[in-house]
Amino acid sequence: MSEQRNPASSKRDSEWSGRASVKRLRSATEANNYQREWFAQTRQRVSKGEPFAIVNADVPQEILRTMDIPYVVNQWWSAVCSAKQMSPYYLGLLNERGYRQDLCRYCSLSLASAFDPHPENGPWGGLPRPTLAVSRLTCDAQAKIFELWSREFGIPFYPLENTVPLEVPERWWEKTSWHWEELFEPHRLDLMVEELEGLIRFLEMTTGRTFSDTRFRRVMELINEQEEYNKRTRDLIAETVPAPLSVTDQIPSVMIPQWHRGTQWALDAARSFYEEVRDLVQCGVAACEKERIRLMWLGTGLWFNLGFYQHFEERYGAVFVWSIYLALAADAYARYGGEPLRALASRFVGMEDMLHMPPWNTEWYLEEARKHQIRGVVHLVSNSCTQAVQGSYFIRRTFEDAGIPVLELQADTVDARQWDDAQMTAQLEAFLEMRLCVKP
Amino acid sequence: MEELARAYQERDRAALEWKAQGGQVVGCLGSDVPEELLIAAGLLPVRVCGDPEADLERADPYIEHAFDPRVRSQFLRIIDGSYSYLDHLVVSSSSDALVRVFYYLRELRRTEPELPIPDLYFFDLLHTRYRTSALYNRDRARDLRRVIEGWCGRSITETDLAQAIAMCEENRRLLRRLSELRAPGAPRVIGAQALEVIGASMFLPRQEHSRLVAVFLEDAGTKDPLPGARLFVTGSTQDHVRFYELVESCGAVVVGEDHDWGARHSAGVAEITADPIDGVVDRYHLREPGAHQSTVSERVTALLEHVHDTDAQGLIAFIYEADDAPSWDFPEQREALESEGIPVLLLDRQSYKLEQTDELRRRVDAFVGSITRREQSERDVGCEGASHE
Repeated sequence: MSEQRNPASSKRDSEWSGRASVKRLRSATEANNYQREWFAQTRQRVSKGEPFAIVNADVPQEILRTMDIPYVVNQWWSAVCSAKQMSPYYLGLLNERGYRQDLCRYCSLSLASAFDPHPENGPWGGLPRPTLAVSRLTCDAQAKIFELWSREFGIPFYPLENTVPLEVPERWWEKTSWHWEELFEPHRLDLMVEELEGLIRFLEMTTGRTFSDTRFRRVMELINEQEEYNKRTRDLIAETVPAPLSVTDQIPSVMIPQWHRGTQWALDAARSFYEEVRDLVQCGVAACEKERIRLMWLGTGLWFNLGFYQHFEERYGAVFVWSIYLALAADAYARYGGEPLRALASRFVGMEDMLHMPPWNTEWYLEEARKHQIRGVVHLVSNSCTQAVQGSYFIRRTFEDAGIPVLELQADTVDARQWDDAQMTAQLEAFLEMRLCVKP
Repeated sequence: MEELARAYQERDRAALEWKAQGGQVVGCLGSDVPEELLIAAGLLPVRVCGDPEADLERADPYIEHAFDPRVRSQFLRIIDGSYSYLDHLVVSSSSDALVRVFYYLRELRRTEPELPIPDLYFFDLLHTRYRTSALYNRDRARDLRRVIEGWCGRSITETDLAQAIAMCEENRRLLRRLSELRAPGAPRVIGAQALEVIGASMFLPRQEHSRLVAVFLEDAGTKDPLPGARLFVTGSTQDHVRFYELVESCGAVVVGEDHDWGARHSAGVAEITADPIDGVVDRYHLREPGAHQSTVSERVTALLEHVHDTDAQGLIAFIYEADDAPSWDFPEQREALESEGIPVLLLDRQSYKLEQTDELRRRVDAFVGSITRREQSERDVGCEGASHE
């Protein structure tokens, strides 16, 4: 049976394989190298009996950072598995257990990888066995997927609730840093603070680690400094034509430090990313010398095919200059003033609204599009995830009312099995040629 | 039964009559709106439902296929004016899909005011079974009480509340009695009929519904036990009887289910508490887990208990396309039941309308046949054993 599940043979069965992106930035390469090194160290630490957490992307990881508990972000590991072309094999393991093929996959691919009888064959030597799991219940599947983690490994699971606002603030991105108390209804913050206090006690008891308020304050300060660099980088990219870099370099340069936020390395990496972009701008270096049109990529990354974006730069001078990753780091993370745990709660309590719910997301996207001189939007819509569709009607209407055409690409963010590369490329080419009047 | 069936089929009738008499009607989208608060204020709560005959493509521009077809149908009926008679619409967090529907509707009301979407409110009931969630829920219910008082222009007194709670508890007590008549061992009410009786309580004034149910139960209690394989249904919520009718036309009886439009509707008791709201909200919070707001193991444990209590001989998991939550539950539910020798049939990726009925009937027929044959062979073995004695 294990032979049948061999990832290599699974890969051989597939005729098509996604393209990795070509990294042009030093900071992107350095971030990737650091991540590999960190991962190897983490594997070593876990093998010596240290705690290790699997957490969802929207969990306040700052708590774990403060307590020096290593963690892997569920969606990051999914992205790595997908980029390594392992998703067909791993998702096949999930399906063999009776879970249907079209269930939400971004949040379950990591779990699927944990079902591999030969985990050491996984990316980077495989995910270490987690000792605890933390998730936020932002959709129906979260409690189920994380409880399955918990039961698979016999580890404790701490769920954090998700609450819904009754009020809709205007221009939230202008209030997040300093006026966050006004942005979120007090009862939502109160609950999250209480749940975070519970999380701290849970971690103290299950890991034996302690939580230092002094260290926590330092973590929060480091993050504020890091996000200020991200803001400057984002603004520089927005105002510079042709763009000094596209999303393929932005994503690793911003996201790997984001997963390490609260560390000196992450701050240094964000600074180094900013300085590199600034130097590129000063030297007049562009991601695409013949930039003719700037595009926005809405939704999560196309992790199994990150080279997809670069084809359109080369053929059409169409550059994806915007994705949620840098923009969210720039606008949604910094927090000043107030009690630090409450400030941390405010970083996450509305993240689901900001990213996936109209009008929070649509108004911000449009603001960002204008700032970045975007002429077309490509929205990755996965019909296996209610989060990922993020109000596609409202997105389409908001942009098209502003004269910015939208193309919806129906695909899963990590599952390469149903991706038709030729058809998707043709759709995007037709969009460029017919709607945006850009010829090769 | 005729009046109950009529109320179930003509779902807007009682509400329109209530309106004609000058009353206010409040729609409830999701199963977690504490209707006791609405009733205490003299308002009529009615449950928002889909329409299996509706052309769901009309919803396509607004709501994606990531939402299950029942929710898409409910959404369509709200924006097409089917519920324009509602004075207010309260959406509850009974599923992730409904949370998102609330955001979509709120945004449509703001940006396309010509759409006939009623005044909206969101009731944010948390489902983790922790004290923090319980206290949060109680506060949200107190907020809702204030909002309702604004709608009806008067205070809800403690007496109003106590009477409403008593009325709803009596209704639930009768519906739990209905569950007893469906099981165990010797059902006297078919599943499709039970769905109609239960569902009618979502459209009729509760006192009126209780009166009709009491009469129905009196009659049903005198009936002979129904023949046929006893099946339990899990999976997606069924707000119409088409699937039950198909199953029961194959020689089976649906003796119970765990979805919101079936036996779960009357699950849990509102305890009498110093502040009556606490008992009401705790009942919604802590009753048996629904598919969308629970862990897999909670669902497995609850299902096993139900199957034992109803003495079901088999289980059908009937799941709509894109209804992910029950699909996450299913593999472990199957394992748990099959390990106890209870056969399981999965019918997933189903349409809301119930299509490909020939194929469905073939599969259900085969499943029911296998249970019947097994029962017969067990009986034969029993007889043989008895004759040897």
